[in-house]
Amino acid sequence: MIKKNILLLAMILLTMLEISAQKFFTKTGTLDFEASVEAFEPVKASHSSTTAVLDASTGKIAVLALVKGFRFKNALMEEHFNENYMESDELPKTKFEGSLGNFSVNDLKSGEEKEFKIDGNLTIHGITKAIETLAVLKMNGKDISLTTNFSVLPADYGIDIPSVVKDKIAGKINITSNFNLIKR
Amino acid sequence: MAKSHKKKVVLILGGILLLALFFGYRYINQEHRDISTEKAVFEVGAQQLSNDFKNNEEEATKKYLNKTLQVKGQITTVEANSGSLDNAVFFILGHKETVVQKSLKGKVVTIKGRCIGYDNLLEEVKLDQTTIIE
Repeated sequence: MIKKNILLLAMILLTMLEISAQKFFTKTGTLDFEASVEAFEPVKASHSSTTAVLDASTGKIAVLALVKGFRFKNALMEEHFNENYMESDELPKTKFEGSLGNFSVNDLKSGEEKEFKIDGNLTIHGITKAIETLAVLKMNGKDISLTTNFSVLPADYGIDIPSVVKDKIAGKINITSNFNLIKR
Repeated sequence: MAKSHKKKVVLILGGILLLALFFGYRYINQEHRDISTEKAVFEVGAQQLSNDFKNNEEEATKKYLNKTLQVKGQITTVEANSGSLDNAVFFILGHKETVVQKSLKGKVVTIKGRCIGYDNLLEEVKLDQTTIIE
């Protein structure tokens, strides 16, 4: 009887482990943003070491981009971005915590794109706001690829753009992310 | 007399303007830091670096963020252009070097890169623009 119980317990534990192991992640996700205005120097940067973790059993997703990792073509622009706008010495992280609506990993088919609603909290410059957008997921062999495309307003995140450069920076910032999540 | 004086002033002003333009242009188009040629501010073991962040992230951030670090540790994972030391420090190469040799896995190496902060999701310190020194 005891033996049977132990066996049952072991089986439950194993199943729990199996479920908790359903994590997909990347350490080298791409996160780009652009706030360019036509006829002026492009205001854009790319981050190629963004971390993202997707819990495939719940659809919960967490994304972290260390602000210093955003690279601009123009070194001075990168410096101003860090020092004047993002204050990355004091606020080194940009993150998102949220979930994919009605997510089931079994709904993903190889090479077939599927759209999910994604909502959660986006933290930029130390300010957290709820956002909602769409994510496109696809099975890529054993990996899951996830892309999103949305925009934010700098003012929502307490980022002041001085009037001197207001004409050269778009009021809306487009953010694109591209993650190839591998099974942990 | 008055004429040559005027000429002098124009010349000096023109010179100043040219210098201002030159330095202004240089300032606006300044080069990026080249981490691979910078001297490391700290030389530290991968475990130690990771422990510093785990024990007090705020203090470690103040100490290491945006600084060039030389880190020693065993290569535990190798990806296309990135890898990790002692499962505790993630590094991604600069654009000049693009591939981490698969054969390096398990080897103890020293790398030099810029610390961009602590990834609390995967509990790893992150370095970018890294070069593998030895």
